[in-house]
Amino acid sequence: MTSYFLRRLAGIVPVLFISWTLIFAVLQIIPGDPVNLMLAGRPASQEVRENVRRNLGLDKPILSRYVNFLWRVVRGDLGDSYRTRQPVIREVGAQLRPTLELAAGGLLVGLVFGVSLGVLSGTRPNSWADTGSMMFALAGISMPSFWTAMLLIFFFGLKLDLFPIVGEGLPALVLPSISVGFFLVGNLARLIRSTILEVMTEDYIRTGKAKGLNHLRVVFKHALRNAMIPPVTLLGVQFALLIGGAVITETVFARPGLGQLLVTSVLNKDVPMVQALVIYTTSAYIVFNLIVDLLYGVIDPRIRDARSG
Amino acid sequence: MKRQASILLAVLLALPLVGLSTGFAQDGLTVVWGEDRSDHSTLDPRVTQSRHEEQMILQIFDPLIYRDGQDFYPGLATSWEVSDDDLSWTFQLREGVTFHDGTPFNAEAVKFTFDSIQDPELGSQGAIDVLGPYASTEILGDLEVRVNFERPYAAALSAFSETELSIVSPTAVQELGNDGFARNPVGTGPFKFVSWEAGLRVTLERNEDYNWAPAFYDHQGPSEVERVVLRFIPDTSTRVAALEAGEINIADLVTPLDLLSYQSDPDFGTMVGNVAGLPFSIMFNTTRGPLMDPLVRQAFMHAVDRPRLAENLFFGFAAPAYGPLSASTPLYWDGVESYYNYDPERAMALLEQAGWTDSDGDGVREKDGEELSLFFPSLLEPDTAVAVQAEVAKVGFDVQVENVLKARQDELIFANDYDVLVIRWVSNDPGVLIIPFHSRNIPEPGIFKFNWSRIDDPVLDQLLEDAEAATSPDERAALYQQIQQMIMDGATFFALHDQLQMVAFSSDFSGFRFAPGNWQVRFYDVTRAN
Amino acid sequence: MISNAPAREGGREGRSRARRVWRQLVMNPGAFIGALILLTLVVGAVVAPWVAPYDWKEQFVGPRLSPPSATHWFGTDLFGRDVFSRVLYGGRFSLSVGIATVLFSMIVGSLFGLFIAHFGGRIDHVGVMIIDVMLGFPPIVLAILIVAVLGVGLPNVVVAVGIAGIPRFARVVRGSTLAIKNRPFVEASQALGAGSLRVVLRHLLPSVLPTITVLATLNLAGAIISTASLSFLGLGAQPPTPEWGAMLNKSRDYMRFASWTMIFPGLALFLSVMSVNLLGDRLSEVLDPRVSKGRGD
Repeated sequence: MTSYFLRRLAGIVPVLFISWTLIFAVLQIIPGDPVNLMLAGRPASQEVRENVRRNLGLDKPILSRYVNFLWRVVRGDLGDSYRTRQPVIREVGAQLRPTLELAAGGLLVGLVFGVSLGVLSGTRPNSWADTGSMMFALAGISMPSFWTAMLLIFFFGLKLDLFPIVGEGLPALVLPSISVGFFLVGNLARLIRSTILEVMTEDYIRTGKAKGLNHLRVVFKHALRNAMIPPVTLLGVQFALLIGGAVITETVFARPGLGQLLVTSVLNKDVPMVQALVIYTTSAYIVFNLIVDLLYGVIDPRIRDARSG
Repeated sequence: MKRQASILLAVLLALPLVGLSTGFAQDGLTVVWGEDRSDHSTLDPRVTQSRHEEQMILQIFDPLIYRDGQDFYPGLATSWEVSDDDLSWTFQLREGVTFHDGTPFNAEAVKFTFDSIQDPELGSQGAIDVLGPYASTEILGDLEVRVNFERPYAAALSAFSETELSIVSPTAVQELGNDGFARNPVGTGPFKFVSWEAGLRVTLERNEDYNWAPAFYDHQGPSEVERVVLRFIPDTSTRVAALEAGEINIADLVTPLDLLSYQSDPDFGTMVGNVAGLPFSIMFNTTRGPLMDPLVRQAFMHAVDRPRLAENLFFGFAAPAYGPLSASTPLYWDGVESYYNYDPERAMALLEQAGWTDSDGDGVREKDGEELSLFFPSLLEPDTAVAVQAEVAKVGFDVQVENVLKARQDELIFANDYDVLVIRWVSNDPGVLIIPFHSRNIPEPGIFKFNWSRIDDPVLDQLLEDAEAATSPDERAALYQQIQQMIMDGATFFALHDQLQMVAFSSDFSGFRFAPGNWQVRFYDVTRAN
Repeated sequence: MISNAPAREGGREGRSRARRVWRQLVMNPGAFIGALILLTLVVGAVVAPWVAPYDWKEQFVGPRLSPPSATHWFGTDLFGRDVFSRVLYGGRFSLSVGIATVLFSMIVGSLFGLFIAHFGGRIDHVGVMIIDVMLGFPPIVLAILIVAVLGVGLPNVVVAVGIAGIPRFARVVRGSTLAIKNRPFVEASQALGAGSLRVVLRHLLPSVLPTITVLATLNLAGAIISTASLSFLGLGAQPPTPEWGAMLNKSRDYMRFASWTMIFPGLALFLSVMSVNLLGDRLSEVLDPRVSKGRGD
């Protein structure tokens, strides 16, 4: 068991290393002189420009810049934003909370409605509830999140005036959470329905039913628990989708957050900020997936054995 | 199952109620301003060139001289006089003024502010131009200074009232460094800086010691407003919705349709500022491509129906503009109105004359195998770019619009990689013309300047310098007329419409007041409406 | 983790199989509706120049911001352009961009997967790691990063979203290639002197085709959304292109006064993604049950 953990942990080191290398390489070819970007059009003497160049380490050969870059990533020091001239880590830290709130809200919406609809239709296949739920789920995976967001703003924010559109606190989180979680609702509902259908045909369920156990109890005690395993493994993918959704949703709802920071940083060519955001999100994603994998291994040892083989 | 689902639903719907208690309720008056831009990078008056940053800067700082409309009032200076040779300005400074950090305001602070603007390490983008031919500041006493210029500077009075030349706390700058000060500004103004959460909000609080308000205000002493909050909400429809929901109290740059509907709504007040300075205009790059030919530039202008364009885009709120100064700017010359009026036939004839014909019938003209194609990076007013694009397409231009942000525009300007750019400027003085038309302001790689047409005309340069130095009002007026005429004849600058600041606010408040230039809004006088 | 689709043989059998798949596809009500909607949108986009009532870029063909009516079925926008004509033409951009994106991912991804699996050893090892790393980027983040380098514009968006889609195809093709490589008859033919790559290719294509088809269809839905999202963020189509995402972005300012400028382009986008999803669902049931449940990987 321990050796499995260690092996998995050691396995992500090269993955992280390659991803950082790729990011470094990509950002080397971003167009525009970093000194100009750093100065953001401020008039500056040649001397000042040389200073900036030195401070950015641009006078050194690429290899030493690369080594220096890796060292700074490991230390968590990713330099100063070109735009605000503040350490990027501070700004990323400041924008982390709203994005986590949004992701949590989206996850909640996704889990609550996704699981409910999935169970509803999985336990009553081919009923009208099943058809309705699956149509809803199909809409969930087919609606572009920015359109969902606009419709929510239009109907619930402007026409019915039920929820605030901007601001802080939970009320202002409702519409963005729905917009970011709707995709998850569709995804989870479909997944859970199909796994329930599969599980329901298994022997122990049929035995349970034959023994006269209550239908709902069977569903909850056995079917659902088993049916939840595949969705849990997919949480890593869902996390990526939530981050993607945050990019869009934060823009439409004018919410601060990492997604909006990424878009404005790209458009403003704030290279250190883009670099930091991409490194943090991918590293988090990789680590998150590892944790999910490990958890899954704990839940179901068969997987562990299969994967470590 | 159904019951479980409905319980979950009920819990979810009840969440908003829980949240209500976390919304912050404050005693005292709070004004929340919804801001249309979110890319603020400094709140240092000496550095900024952004009208959006100035919206907050002018609440925090005081200039030596205040201006309201066309009148000047004592600010941090109680009186001033100009030397006979027009080279020196002597200021008597106000007594008993302190910066928000407790530093006393004095001659030293004035000298520090102006000298530091000249320091390339600071990287001033606006103040450096506003300060003109600045030479030095002499400290004559604790509360007396003399500011010297290298040449007579006719726009000096107006310059000293600009937000960019507000006085900063020397101790705070020394303590925090320039970059630190940009994020933690310390001034003498009616509001003190509290915090700045990037992309979210800037918070100010009342300066309780403030008793040096200029005389044009309705009251004296500290403001009735306890807190000023700026919320960054770049999306217009979201900003308007936030205003209606009461989450902000005043919104800038609402759409004309919103303005129309608020004008008949008792819950809201509106203010429309007709901005002085350079109107919203196109600058033609005269150093590359088809626009090197003045005939092509003239054709472009004749192809656009400006009155109709202004009406369509602003629903009647904005007037068309014709020359390099907007009609509300002092020394505006109305002769510009007869230039380049809408005449598509003429436009087509000019293009034919210049050798551009549509030989393959695709609607786009060609010459020597080149298409009449122009690259238009658009930073402001995307709708205007689309309208212009469609107008000139009718006479055979192919305009490639790309919506850009400032960093990309900077890159394109440095690389001289654009055909058409839009410009606008808030200013109360025709002296602003030196900024986009003097050859010393042609951008170079890495150096951001505003002569985007890249006009290099020694005659025009001389006129601009003479006008800046001219001290007799008649001479000045004559020179600026000549300058405006010359710019029009050169066909390098295409004014489209007056800039409008369209502000809507909750009618629970009154006392909002435009700063000179009619863009920013001053909050000092705001009270609860009765 | 690696897909091990059993190789299916080509030839006559394959053709009759295709016919069977097609029958199974259209007999399914969901897939039938999906195909019908998609066909309508595609045909609309293709014949737009002949059937659109107005020129998509012509301004003031009607009063600006006028609601849907007999003359302007979907109303007009701020510039008095006909929204129906623009939505119709928009399909040309939004749909073709989505398809181009998937083709890009599919071709590059397949070649990459084939390449690393064929050479094996260290190349395969590094290749798999690159795939894993690329899967580690949330796709939209990766696409935005690539746009940052290439610059904005629709062609660049195709490349950006296309690159983000590469690893999924690469993984499937690699798995199938490996499976075929190790089969006895391939080894035998190698011993007989046949070029191994040619042999692999001959057996690979029929084997991965069903999986690739399903993956491509499911990816198409995502690609249409992603490219539209980038345009919506201002990174893709530039004015006056009637790309649906860009139109939706434009409609935000006047949403409350002219909801039709938001409803119809969004509906077109939604319906095209939904119809592709409906087809993809059925296709995966028929062709490759593992992909549809998201458990293939």
